[in-house]
Amino acid sequence: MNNNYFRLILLFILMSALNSCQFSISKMSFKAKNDFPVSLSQSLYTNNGVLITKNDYEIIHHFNFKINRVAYLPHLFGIETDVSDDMNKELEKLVKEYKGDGIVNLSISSRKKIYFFTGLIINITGKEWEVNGDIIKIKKEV
Amino acid sequence: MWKYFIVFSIFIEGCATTYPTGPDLTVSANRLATPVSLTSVVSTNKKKETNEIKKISGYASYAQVTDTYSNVTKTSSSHMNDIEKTIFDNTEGDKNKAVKDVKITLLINSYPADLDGSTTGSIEGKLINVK
Repeated sequence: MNNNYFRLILLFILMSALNSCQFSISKMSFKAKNDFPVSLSQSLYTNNGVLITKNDYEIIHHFNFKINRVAYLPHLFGIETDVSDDMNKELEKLVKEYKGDGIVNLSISSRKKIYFFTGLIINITGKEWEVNGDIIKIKKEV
Repeated sequence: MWKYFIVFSIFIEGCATTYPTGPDLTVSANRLATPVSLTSVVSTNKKKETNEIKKISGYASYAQVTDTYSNVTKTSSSHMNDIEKTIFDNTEGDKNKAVKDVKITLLINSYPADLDGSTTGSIEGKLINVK
């Protein structure tokens, strides 16, 4: 058997064994830093402190966008990826575009994204974060 | 022939070990009427008096085990409603209560080899009284 070929196989086996010992952790966090109100629920408080419930506004646009973040190394120490800046920019752009007063029903999902063939060297964890929500316009009489 | 078998085995192993990334999970509270604000708008408001009661956190987790060879997926029960339940239990439907400064965290664990993964979603925020 060719010696180099044997070494290559041995290297692959070692890498594969090393990879199977890894714990890969992908951690994402988000905190809104906008001037307009952003709520996870159906209601929100305006900057003037007025409680706005679902009867006080109309949904002018339902949005959905994705953020891609890839962790290139095994996250043994639980490195946190802060996607706040990416998301806040996108939210601000949407509210400006539709001239909305705020965002309600915000939800964040993790979506599976698999990278094949990477396990032999390092465990690349590909993840996609999906953001959903509604841009609202507060009724004039409120 | 056995050489090809070894290379093919390594290829399969490589695919199997990278497959688990944790199942999809959504963090939301859109069935609640209580304001769950991701910003600090309530505290910056001068017209309303607010006082912080306590810090609260909600939690949801979802685990999945997939046999990559037989392609059979087994999923554990989802505890998605725990986030909404925590907020509801703390606010008790009181219109003068709200949650502000909410931080959302999603954590995906991939376990070695064929054990697959789990996804955890959590929120942290401050429960406040608005007068």
